[in-house]
Amino acid sequence: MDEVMDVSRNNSGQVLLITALAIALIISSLMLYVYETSQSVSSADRSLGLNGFIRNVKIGSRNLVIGSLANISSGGENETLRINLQRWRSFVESHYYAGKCSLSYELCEDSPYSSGLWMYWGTEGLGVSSAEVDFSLSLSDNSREADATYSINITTHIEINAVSKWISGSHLVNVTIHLFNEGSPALCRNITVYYKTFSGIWRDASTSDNYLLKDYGNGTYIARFTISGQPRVYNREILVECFDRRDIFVKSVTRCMDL
Amino acid sequence: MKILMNKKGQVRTLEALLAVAVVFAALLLTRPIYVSYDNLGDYDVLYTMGLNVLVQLDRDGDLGRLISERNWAEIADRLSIMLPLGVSFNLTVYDEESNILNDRPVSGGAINSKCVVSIQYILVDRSNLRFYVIRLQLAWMK
Repeated sequence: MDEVMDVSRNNSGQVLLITALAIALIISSLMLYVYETSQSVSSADRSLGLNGFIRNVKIGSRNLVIGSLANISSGGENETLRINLQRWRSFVESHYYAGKCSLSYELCEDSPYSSGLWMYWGTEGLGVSSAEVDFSLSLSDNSREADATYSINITTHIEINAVSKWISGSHLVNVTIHLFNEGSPALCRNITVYYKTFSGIWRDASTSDNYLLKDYGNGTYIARFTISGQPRVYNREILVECFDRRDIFVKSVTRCMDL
Repeated sequence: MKILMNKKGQVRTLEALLAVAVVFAALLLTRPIYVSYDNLGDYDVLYTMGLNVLVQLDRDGDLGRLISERNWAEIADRLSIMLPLGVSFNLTVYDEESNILNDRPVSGGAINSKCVVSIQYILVDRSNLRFYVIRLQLAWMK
């Protein structure tokens, strides 16, 4: 019995060491687990980079379509949109370094769009400048792949109506203008109102008497002016030209309702 | 007999010390993993913050306009306002041919931290439809 006690006493140091080794092993395992978790964070981080690039390309595509539409609506060639998209595609593909990148686009051909554009500057008080492009972006790096399809529609439209009152040999004209960006009220950078004279010439309304342009701050503008010294004109034509805050140009013509 | 007992006591002490040393060695060896894990968190925060700031500046086309106007002071001011205190930055703008456009540093604070994040952002200027590459470096100030 004493011998057994003696052996167990002699071995107690070794037990202590083995226990210490076991604790060290547990600590190492815990740290390895933490390390593995950090690796999954790292791969999430890579996806952060991937998603960040997608977000970046989407905003760039939107700015490109806005810039192209501003250019085309101000008299640029319709082909500008396609040329710029081709440039953008090459630029994006050559600036992704983590792996493969492919950006493709398709100009909207659904009526009323043609080659991605819809420019309607009507005579019934409605004017539309619009562009629509569908994009498809594929990205991959060592371990992940991501695909994104998105559509960019940029539309600036204007709605105008006008009333005219004949008082004491003068026309009192009120023109109400509503501007929209993608269907939501938007602000103008510049508005010019014209009226057609008795002889059929367009004249800038700001040169007429008492011209006043009121900005309601919510995309609604009212222009008031008086035309005097001219014979009475029924259903006078009014033309409104407008640049929105993105420099997209839109115009429309309407006829005054005589009161 | 007494001497033998005393020696046994010393051996026990040595064994205990050795056991403690083994445990501490395990703790010390796994410390670098802790450090790298902490840095990853910093990287994520800085990356997300930098990207959000660039996206916000670019949303209405302001960043492209400021670059085409070569208004580097205004860009630096806006970055200083939008980034939180304690984050230093350095921004470089390249054109399509990879020429550096900013002739003066667009920066705030010194970048001398261990964790520096570099964010690349591609940009379209709406007004003249030129493309730019922006490299924004961010770091926590010491």
